[in-house]
Amino acid sequence: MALLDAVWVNVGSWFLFVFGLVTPLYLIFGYIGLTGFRDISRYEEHHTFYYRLNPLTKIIFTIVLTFVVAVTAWSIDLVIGLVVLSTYLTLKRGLRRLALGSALVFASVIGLAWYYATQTPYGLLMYAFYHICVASVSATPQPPSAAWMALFTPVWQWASYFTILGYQPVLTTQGLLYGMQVSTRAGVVLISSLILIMTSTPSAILRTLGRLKLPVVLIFALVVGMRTVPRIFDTLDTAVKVQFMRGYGAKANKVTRVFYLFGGVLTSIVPAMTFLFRGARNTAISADTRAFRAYKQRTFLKPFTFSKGDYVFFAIIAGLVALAVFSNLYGFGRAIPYSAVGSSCGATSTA
Amino acid sequence: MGFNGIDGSLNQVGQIPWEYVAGYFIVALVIAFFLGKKTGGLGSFTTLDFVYIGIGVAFAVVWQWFIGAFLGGFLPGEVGQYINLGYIGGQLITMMVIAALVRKVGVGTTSFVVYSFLSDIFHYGFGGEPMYFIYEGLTYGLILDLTIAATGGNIFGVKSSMKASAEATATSGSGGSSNKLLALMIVEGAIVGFLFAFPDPIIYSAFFGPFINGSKVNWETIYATLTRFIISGIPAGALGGIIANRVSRAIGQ
Repeated sequence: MALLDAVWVNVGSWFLFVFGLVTPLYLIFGYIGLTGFRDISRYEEHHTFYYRLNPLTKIIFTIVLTFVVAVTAWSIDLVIGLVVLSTYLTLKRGLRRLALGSALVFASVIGLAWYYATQTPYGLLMYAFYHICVASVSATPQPPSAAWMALFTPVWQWASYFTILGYQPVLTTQGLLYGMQVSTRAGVVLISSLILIMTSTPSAILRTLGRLKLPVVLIFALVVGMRTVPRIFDTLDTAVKVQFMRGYGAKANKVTRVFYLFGGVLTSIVPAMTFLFRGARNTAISADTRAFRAYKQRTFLKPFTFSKGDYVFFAIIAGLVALAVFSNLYGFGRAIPYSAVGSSCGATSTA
Repeated sequence: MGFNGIDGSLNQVGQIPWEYVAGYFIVALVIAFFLGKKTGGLGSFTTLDFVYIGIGVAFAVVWQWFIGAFLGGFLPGEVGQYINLGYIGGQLITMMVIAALVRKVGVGTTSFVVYSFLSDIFHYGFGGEPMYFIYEGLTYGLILDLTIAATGGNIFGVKSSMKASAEATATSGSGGSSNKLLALMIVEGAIVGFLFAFPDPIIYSAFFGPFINGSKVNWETIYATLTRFIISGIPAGALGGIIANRVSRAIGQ
């Protein structure tokens, strides 16, 4: 019986370990892939709601959403995230972008939640859930005391050697909830950030930031960066395909192919970097021939206006703020203090 | 919650007194201003320099949020605490490459401000700004700028390498780096890696974390993190010095 238990614990632990590690990786490199990243990080012309909004409205939306999800319970964050994600259907090639966005966010949330769920020290969970301060939180996983475990709901007992990986001895419901609180917050911000990227041209963002009186050279570098992100994925994709054509990963099957792809990406970083940096000269010449920086202030051909859609969106943003207020009033505020992340109660001090 | 989500906590237990941090940033600003005045500041930058910054920063963001973040999951817990792949590839090595390409004082600060902005657009949202612009620009960025100033623009031996290559080509010899130059890249890179280990544990965890998010300060964790960052930062910086030199030479900049 003891042997059966040991086998069960070991097999189950490894299954969960591989799930937490491989699921995000498979989604990222197996499903999304480099072309998926390119598609989700670049603008494509279209004429639905988001595309008609002023980029400033979308930036304000992201900022407000960042605060709303920071002060509400993870379940509300999840609902907000799903609602915003569903609006991806209105984008150009909406179904594909919804699928890509879902995969990216799911991978991020699973990856982050799993990390915090398995590795957050019990001392932090004690502080986060029960506001009980622990003098010092050891970086090395410690077996929980019986008094502590009475407060936690155990879900899975890891094989003992998993502490070497930084895992806490027992996976608890509180650990999972803690992971969800941290990860859903990050996931929602990621979803809203991608809307700005996919529905605004870099030049529209440049105009908006120019109106905010940011230095034009900084905006220029920023816009070059925005345009480069999808090109990086494109270049990496080409570099990886060339490696595959040369026979790299020829013996890969469906399961191992994702790992070869991952390896191909890693070995392509420096060549891709060199290739894109070499092309920088053309971009610079192009900008200089259009008299970039000839004057300190730039002029604007298009007026900076807010449309009816922007005002509708401001109303939605106001609704989100109201949701945050009511959530907190009715007990759906952030039950788990985010401030506990990476710290104990501050009992140890040298300052 | 204060302006733009900044908690504004200044009296957390263990938090570095704000006067010290303000003093640091005032001194940092004076140094940045002085160096900028001496070298012509951003006015001396060409359009190509800003394109390099934009492209480099895009690589840093892609590495940090789309590749390094997932790669890190493969490292066992204790190893993962030493080797933060997102930070090493994105904030350290890629920024060293940009510095080697531009080699003008101000590139560090500018790159980190743009990096912070681009990270906000792609990942973070803009909560807590402008504190992150100031923090990243005047800590990591300033370290790179001071290194450029201290080396007279010959950061990671890029200028010397190019000179050596040109001389070797003129005499029909091989254009490889000499051992002395290799040592220079490694030592300078290691110094940058060492210095980069300090801002996150000290200035962020012990001041900006509580100030922006209201997080608690634990000096035991801070010392442990600092030690880990130093141990991993020195070899990573040394490697970054070599990569920065090689990429810069490959581009012929």
